Amino acid sequence: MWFIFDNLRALMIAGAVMLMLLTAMTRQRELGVEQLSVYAAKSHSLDLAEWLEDDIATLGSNFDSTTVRFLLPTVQGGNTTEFTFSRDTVGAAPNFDKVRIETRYRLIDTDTAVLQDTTYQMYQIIRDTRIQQGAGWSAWLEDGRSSPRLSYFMISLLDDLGQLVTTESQTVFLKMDFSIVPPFPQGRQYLNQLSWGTTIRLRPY
Amino acid sequence: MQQTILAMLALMIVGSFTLNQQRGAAKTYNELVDDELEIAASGVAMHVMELIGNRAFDSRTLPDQTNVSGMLVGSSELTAESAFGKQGTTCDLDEPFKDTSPCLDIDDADMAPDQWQDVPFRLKDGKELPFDVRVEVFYVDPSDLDKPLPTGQRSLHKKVIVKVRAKRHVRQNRYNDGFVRLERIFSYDIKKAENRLREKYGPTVVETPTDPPPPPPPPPPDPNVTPKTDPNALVAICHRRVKRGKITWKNRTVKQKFVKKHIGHGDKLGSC
Repeated sequence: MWFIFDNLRALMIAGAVMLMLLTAMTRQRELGVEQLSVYAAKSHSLDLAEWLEDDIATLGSNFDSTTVRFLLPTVQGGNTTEFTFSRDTVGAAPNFDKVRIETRYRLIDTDTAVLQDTTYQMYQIIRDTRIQQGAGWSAWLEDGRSSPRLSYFMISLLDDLGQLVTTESQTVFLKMDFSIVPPFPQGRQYLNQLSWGTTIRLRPY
Repeated sequence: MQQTILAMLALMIVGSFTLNQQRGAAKTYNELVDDELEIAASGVAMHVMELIGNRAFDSRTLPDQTNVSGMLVGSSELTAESAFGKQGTTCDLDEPFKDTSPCLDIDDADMAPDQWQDVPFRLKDGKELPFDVRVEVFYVDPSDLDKPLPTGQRSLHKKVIVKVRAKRHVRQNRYNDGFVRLERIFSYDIKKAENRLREKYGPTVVETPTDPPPPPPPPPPDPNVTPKTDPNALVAICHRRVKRGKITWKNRTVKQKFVKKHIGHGDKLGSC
């Protein structure tokens, strides 16, 4: 005890020094995790964005202007839960037979995340395809999954001027938006979720 | 006394170390926020670019114009760069349909220097990320699409540059010339102009029927009337061709039934 009282001033200063060092180190570690987390979310976002863009760019390929290109998206709880669209591939010479391919996105619940005291439901997009065989269709075949940390997914139909419409025939653009919750959410993150969106003009141009 | 001096020294060293670390952390934090905003800003830029790209190439290629005076035949007929933009107002880049005077062609989106427009990125539950967007439109050289044409010159290619910056960048006085930049070149597409014309007025002026109706039976000859010419008879014309902004003339023969269409495109009857 006499040692503590003899060196009280030194001990207080040493304590302050240790506290400052610990705070700095903790913040540094948090930033490292946050950086990694945002990088992972960004990578997942760009992967998903790439295949969404590829799909929508070919939506309605080889269709004439009267063929229905997609079914109206199903919206539940502020998210698009199902979206089915078609395209035709052209076969080999000499007949160049068209083969219709349907692609379907389904949004399924995965886990929950707590960000700044708010609980978010997270989802995953399942991508299925099927091929027309004569008068019928093949079974749906799963052909890709998004990150399981989507917190928002919305497909909006826009007309020539960018106005929201509700019918397939009026649709000129598709607007797609989604948000992804980073894998290791930190309380201090600015946006808490990474949001991506784009607008793509549909075929036939 | 000696102990106090040592303690003060230790505090100073740790204080300066912590300050440096905080400065680094603040820098990293800014980069992280920029990373988070970058994805949303790209979405805003793509949305704006798609909506601009869907306008007519020029006010001269709008259906009303083409229906009256035929399809565009040369770049000299296009809008001068000095007349780009909405002249006093701006297009609503986010919701062009709400504009009382909607932007009809690509160059209507051009903005005055240092002018920016609010375009939010909409999130779920009505939340928004605020961004500023600026659009520049100018003609480019057909032989080098990266090269802007000097003022006064025109071509059949327009470059559109969309710049986006976040509101927090404005507050921090960073990225004053845009944080995300998207460029695209739009060229005059006669098919697009024809489609727009067809959408508005139906298949008329510029459309040649793929399966022409069979010719009516020849009327009995009337000595008082000059006989009609054979629609398949060949007629000499001086054909006008526009390539890379240059007009060339060439002697050609076409069927009588197509002469009207060629004249409408700027060709002349007879040899050059």
